[in-house]
Amino acid sequence: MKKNRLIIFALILVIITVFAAVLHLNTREEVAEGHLKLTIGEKEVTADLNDFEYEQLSGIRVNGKGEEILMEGEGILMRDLLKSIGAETYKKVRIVADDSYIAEVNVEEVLEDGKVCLFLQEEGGLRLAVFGDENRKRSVSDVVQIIVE
Amino acid sequence: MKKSKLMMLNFMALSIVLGLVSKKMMNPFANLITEALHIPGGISTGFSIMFLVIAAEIIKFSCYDSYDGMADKCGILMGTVQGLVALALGRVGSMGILMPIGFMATGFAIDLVYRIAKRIDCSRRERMVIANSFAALMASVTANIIVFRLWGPVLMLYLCVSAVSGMMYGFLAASVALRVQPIFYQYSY
Repeated sequence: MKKNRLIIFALILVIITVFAAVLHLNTREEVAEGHLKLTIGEKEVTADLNDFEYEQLSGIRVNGKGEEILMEGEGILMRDLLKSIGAETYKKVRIVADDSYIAEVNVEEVLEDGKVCLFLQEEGGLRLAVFGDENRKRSVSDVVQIIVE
Repeated sequence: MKKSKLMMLNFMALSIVLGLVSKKMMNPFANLITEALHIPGGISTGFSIMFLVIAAEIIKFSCYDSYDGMADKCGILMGTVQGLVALALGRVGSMGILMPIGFMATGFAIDLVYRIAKRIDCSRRERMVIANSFAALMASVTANIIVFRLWGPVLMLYLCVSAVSGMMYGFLAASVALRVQPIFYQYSY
């Protein structure tokens, strides 16, 4: 009986998880590979990553141990990206990753020269880097959506 | 200090270190699943918690009946020390300086399950599976409050995956504890 009790518990948990997985995978908004969804107020557009003009960027990132790590590669400043899509007035920008994780940067940080960048990843897609930031919560890979508010 | 108490503290320290080291080892395998499900984590933590559950099981139910005071709180004690060690080593993850809170929540969850388990009739496997599953769930809830801020179906899946993975590690923990317990009897008394 005791053994059955545990098996029933395990089965219920697995069934709920399968249900949650189906629900999540069917309701999440999929962004095609090599694309970025941009939400500016009410307006939503999907941009091809090849449409942006990238430049060589570099900066110092602080990791969890407090060590400074040089990060360099092709990328685009968040400020320039927002300008290219016509976003001029905003208070904050939310960056959404493929796994639904959300990071936030404010307008002052975006406008600070070379602080908020989006790097091209080797495996495709974009990676958010906020230079000089000790908050590792804002080192986000596989960025799929940018929400301008 | 009595040999048995010294052994208990050594065992707790060993479990804390194993928990910290194993999490990093599990991450590549866990990432395969979390990437496929599009969730930000929740699998490797349960494996790390497994060592604390094994220690709690042996301390609370097996060898150290004479140290009830410490045994009752050994989960939160191990969680706190593990959090502080992780902080000192810079293994703070995305939680940053608030990371020990996650570890403490985990330890508290283990203690809570064991406190309830003492009052009801349940087997070793049952309490270990439930403790591991609940502690993994608590760790994910804390991470979600502090870092992820997920909502809706993705949160539901994230929590379910944590609970299920915690449950599986709980089964593994039960079979490990069965083998480890006689060794500790031998060296403790």
